[in-house]
Amino acid sequence: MQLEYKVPPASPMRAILIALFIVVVAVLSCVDIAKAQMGAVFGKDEFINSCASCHGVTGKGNGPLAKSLTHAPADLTVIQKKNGGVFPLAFVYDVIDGRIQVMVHGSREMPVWGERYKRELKALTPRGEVSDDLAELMVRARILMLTEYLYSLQEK
Amino acid sequence: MKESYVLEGALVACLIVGSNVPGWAQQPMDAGKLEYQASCAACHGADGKGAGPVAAALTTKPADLTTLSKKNNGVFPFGRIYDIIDGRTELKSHGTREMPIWGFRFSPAPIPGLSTQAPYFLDPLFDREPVIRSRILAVVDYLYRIQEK
Repeated sequence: MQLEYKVPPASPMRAILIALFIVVVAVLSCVDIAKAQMGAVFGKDEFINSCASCHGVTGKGNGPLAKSLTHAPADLTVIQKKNGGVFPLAFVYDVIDGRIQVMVHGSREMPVWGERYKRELKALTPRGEVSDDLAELMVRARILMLTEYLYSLQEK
Repeated sequence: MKESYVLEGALVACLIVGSNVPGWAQQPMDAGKLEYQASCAACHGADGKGAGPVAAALTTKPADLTTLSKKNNGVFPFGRIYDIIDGRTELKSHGTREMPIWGFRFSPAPIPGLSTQAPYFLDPLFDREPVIRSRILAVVDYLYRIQEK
């Protein structure tokens, strides 16, 4: 294959600057893409793991368990629409976590994911290798990734 | 090659020592109980009697898990319980094997729809199948221990 072509003569300084610019842009865009993909993948995995059996893979509320519930699971793609076009981030986070909600209201229809994730982590490290603070950090990361994924599901 | 074995060995040694030091200081937790509390208690209740906080939201009442032996002529139905958790025996209110209500914490089979990173995200650092099997066994063992006499 013939890949050689004529380039107009340029000063070496300019060539170096252009090369640097290209490298920086390339690196930055790779990092950005990697970051975006990681977030999306983790959030989606968590969603399929924890939410889809009731709320459905699409989030519309039609998971395989929907029929076994007395109230239809919520359509998670219209959270933003129903809140005047603003995604209620803190509200969504608290609803998933559930620990504050349970303190206020007692029981609820959805599992308390904050508590559940914490117990899962403790069961994974039954000798207490993970401190309470670290466990709490990891629980919050999981809930945040879920919240981020839900944000990406919102209808315009 | 040799070097990487040495490195791996050192890493494993660090992990073993690191994970055991706090272990000497305190009682090991009950893994089966923790798994039960994380994945079953929401519906079946902390005591296994079927009155968990989410039970009211279900059309079918969750089973009383403390009378499994009693209802099976005094014999704990080990295989059946294992298969129900593992997913090869499907119950309507447990969802489908592809999408169980408790997520993929007890799914040894490849998981449809999840990215390749997901198993490591759900169970960091571990070889999935033996972890899942021992996890299911821990839950079955816990259930065995809470049977009414």
